[in-house]
Amino acid sequence: MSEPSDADLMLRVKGGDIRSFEILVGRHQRPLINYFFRMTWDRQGAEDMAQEVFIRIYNHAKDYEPQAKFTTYMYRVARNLWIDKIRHDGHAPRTVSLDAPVDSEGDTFHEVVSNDSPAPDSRMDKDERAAIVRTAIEGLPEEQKQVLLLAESKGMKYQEVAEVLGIPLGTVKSRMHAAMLKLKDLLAGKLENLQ
Amino acid sequence: MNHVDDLVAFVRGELGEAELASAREHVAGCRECAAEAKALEAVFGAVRATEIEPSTNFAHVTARRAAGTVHKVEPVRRTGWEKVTWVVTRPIFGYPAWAVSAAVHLFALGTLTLVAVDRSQKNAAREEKLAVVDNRSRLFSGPQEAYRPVDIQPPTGEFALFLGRRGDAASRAELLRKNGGEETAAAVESALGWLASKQEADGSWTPDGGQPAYRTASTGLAALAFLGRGETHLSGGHAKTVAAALGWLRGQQGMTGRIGPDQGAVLPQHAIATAALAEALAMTGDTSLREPLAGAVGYLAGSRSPRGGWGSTVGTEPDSLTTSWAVTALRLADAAGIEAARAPLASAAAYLDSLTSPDGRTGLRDRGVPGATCTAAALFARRLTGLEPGEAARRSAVVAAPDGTDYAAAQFAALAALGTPAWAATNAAIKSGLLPRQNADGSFAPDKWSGYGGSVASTALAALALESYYRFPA
Repeated sequence: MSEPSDADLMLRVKGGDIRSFEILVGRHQRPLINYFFRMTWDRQGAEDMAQEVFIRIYNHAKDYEPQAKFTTYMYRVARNLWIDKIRHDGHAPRTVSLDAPVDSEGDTFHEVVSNDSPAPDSRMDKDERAAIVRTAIEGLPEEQKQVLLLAESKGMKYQEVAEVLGIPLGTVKSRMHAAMLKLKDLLAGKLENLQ
Repeated sequence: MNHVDDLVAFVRGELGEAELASAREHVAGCRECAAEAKALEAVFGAVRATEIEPSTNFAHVTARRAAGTVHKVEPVRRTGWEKVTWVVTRPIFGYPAWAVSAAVHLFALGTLTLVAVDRSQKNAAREEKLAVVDNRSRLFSGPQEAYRPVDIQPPTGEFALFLGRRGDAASRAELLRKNGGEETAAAVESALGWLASKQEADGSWTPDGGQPAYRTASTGLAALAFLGRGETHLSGGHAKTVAAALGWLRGQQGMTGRIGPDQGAVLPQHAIATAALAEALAMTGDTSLREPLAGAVGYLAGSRSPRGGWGSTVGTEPDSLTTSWAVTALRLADAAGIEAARAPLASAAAYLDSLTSPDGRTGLRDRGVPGATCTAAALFARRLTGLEPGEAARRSAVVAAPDGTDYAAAQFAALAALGTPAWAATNAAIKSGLLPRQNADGSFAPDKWSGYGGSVASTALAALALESYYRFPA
């Protein structure tokens, strides 16, 4: 499939092509919204912030240089916006109640393919398990959480996470490692139900 | 034994080629590292499960808002004579407007004359071109008689067994009657008739009695059932049905190449849809399917776990059944001439072997907990990836005879057993297990899949199981 690259689209946006901008937004909206969602656990707030990032990118399209990978550039803008927000309104991540409703998707095939698997209705409630994961993520130190959530955004590689955060690659690896071990501990005993 | 240093990096696919190969080999043989990798994959999967879907039209609304903030130009207020003078004398390309206007009018007059002379010649060529475009545009919407497929790719390697000897609908029906008997042939015919009657106007199938999120799976399976019978979008009595189904599947493909939803059972559904496109291309050589199929194969190849298999979604722990569907799709795509489809097969085979105990039983995610469906599916997938015939025969001994409660198991068991000593028992079990479960209207009684893909998925899978008589003609 011959799709224009992000850089191609940005060059067109630079020339005022709004359709290319819309394609670019469509391409990256999901991971960016989820990056903010996992920091705020607020869907509307996450979409507002993601929209703000895209509009900043559009407004500064004339400064975009194709040498910089678009996603690195986008997450730098996102990161700066997040820092601005914390400075401005002192926003701090909140711990979410286990009862809070969340968006989640339906069952997977796994439950029917294994002969020994339980029936769908016997599995832990999806909302409840998502809330447990949220609470565990909230339990991570901020610097580890940032690495984890960036790395989980569209499967971003460690090198790119390092570029976005402006920290050495080794630091990304160690923070990610620590974050995962801590999450595993926080979810210990609950993982069986989460699979 | 040296354990893998950074299993987090391994699970995330952050290791280099050499490191990855060595880690993969170690994890396949080390119970401790395999368990740790599994636990980490579960954590990643749990994090990803919190993902939300962007609001509809987010991109459009954002683009409109951006355009509004940037291109908003304050109007300059001019009145009376000031406005007239400005219109006539305002600079255009550095010249006064009146001079530019006069030049443009003279140029337009000359051009119109030339265009009038040339128009008759161009019209003829244009009409010819439009006729060609029209033929192609009807590919997924109407009668196919005007469309001529080109650039047919022959099946390659041992997979010729799967594709090369298959004929058109008539010759397949004959094979079915000969090997499966009149009753089986009639059952397939009746199942396809029922499926055709349940197709929605947009070409998809609603998972009736199942979950709406599985529309891609039910449509992909229904398309495969027709293709398995030799009905393509270009020929056969159900050409229009198949064309509409393939058109709908193509319409679900996003920019990443993924077909179907991006949450829930993403990869099993994508693999089934990919298999349908691949089989259609392999059977017809219709080059318009090549680009979407290449995109779908690219997505599948890119969504593989570092352990070599595929899970429910990208990044979740792989399992043998999703991997078997993915191998089927890739092997079909390979036979259809998509080169990129072959590369992931070796590590997929190694992953399936890592879940298979020495006696041939395979588990969903762990060889310690084998399942009948997984064993049959994995054996079929391993045969597609080049299992030595003697080994296939040995493993076929542990494939459970289908009992009619899981049509997917029946389909995989039949395909896995073809040409092996297990075939006679499997054949008998399929007939006795499936045929009595067909309803008078052609549909099949619910099985394990009905709660997901509905009666459509169950009926399509049952038909596919019965079609195995000519999918691997011995």
